[in-house]
Amino acid sequence: MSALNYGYAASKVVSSVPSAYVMGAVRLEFCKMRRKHLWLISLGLLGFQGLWLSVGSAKYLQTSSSYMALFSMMPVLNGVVFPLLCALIASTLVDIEHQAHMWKELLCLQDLRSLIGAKWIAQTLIMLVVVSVQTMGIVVGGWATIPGHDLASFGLVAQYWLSTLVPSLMLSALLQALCLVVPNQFVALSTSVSLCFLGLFIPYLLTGWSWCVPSAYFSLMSPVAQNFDTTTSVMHFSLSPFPVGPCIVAFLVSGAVLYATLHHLAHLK
Amino acid sequence: MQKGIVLTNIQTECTALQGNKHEYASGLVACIRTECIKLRRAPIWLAFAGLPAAATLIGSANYGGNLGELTPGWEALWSQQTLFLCYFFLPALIGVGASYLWRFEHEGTNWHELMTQPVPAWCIFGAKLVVGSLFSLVALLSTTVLFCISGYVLGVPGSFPFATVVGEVTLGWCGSLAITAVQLVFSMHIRNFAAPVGMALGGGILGIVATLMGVGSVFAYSLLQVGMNPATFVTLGVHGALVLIVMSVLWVAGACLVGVKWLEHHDIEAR
Repeated sequence: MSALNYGYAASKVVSSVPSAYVMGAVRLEFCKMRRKHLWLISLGLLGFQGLWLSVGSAKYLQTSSSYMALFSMMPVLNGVVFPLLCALIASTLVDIEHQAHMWKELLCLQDLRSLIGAKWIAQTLIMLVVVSVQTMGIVVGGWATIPGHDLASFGLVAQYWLSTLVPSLMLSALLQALCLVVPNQFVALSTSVSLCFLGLFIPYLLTGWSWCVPSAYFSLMSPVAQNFDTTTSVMHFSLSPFPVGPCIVAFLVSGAVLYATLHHLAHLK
Repeated sequence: MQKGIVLTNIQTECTALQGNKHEYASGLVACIRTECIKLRRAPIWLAFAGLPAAATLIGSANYGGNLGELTPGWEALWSQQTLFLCYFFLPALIGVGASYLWRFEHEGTNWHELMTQPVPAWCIFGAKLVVGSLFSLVALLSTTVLFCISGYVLGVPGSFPFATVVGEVTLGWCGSLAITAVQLVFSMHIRNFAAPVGMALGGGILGIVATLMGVGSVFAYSLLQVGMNPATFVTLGVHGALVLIVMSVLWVAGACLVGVKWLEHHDIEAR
């Protein structure tokens, strides 16, 4: 898209009515993301997760041929991959303005809340698609792999989808805030690598600390409970009740981070 | 430091080199010095020293909590502390470091200014490779020092396997050079800071697959894993070590060739 078109789209954002105002700003963010290959990166990382799942699930599926076994592995994989994926998307969305020194110009055309809100909504929409594609991939992959070709129950799939999306949104809010506040993207990216690391270990080693580590919420909100029977040496899987507490905490943290980011940037402005 | 001052520094140093018979070697030294100036007050060292510290703490906790299932010893502790660090997080962190090294050049009109410096393209790429290799060296040294300290604090039985650890860390560093070189090529080509980091994480995962398939000594992202040998802690042997070193050299040389050729032939593009 040419600079003239960007200017036209931006002027549409300013002149539109409030409901269309935000939609226009979000559309503008997606225009900026053209040729950034975000979809390719997201699909690539999902592909790596699929590869890992297909290798790792073989052992589980020998003893328990059910979707529970597949879905039980996912929180750990998400804890490793999603913090970095959220940081990649957030950094790409935000760094484009840092690199081109666009903030002053953008804030002449757009309200700060709509600008930051549009970036957050754009990231949320991308994560929504990524989580939905991943969930569908597991269902379809399980249907092809698990003997009997049974489909996963709607409750399990819906709970998994929600318990993956909510921590993703919290991570997105946190990492996008970091990308916005600290222009040096190294900070956000290295933080995300640390979160990947903590997301892998904290749920197993320091369970009580899982509430304090955003990437550990994938395991904290896992839809599948595991119970290892030492007498028969078989892992039993069951559907967990929906984790209302972590869900509320995640929403509160996301809201607080968004508010703090807006407040901080408004002060700087 | 302001970018203008940095560029003036490299210009001054490189202009002074003209006419010197050791021009090329000195050009590389000047570029390395300039890279170090650019990194002054950057928090990058903290991340490379801090992530292994987190890995050590978590690995030590895991070792202490699973003594009933693990065979107590330095091997088990090494495995707990380095397994996931080498498989996923160090390649990703190297990717972040490589992106950081090129970020400055991609900003504003710095690319044009970089291309007009009186130094050969290989000096520019080589300097970034040297500095990038120092990043991984910091991470690996931090891992080793913390491994020693945590081992003595935890009272790990047996004598400290000094020679083995030095060998593994040296080979791991050789392997990390291949990742650094490849990531530098990606980060040079892709202006986006984040995308090459995703590629590094993907490379790490592909590296595990390559290692599981028995071709770990061939794939760039597996070389660090094979060298550090966190899963088995078995000495590679002279032949295995030689193969790893040769493959690392080949990957580094290949990446340097691609990077330098790209720098030489794409400098006139409007960016």
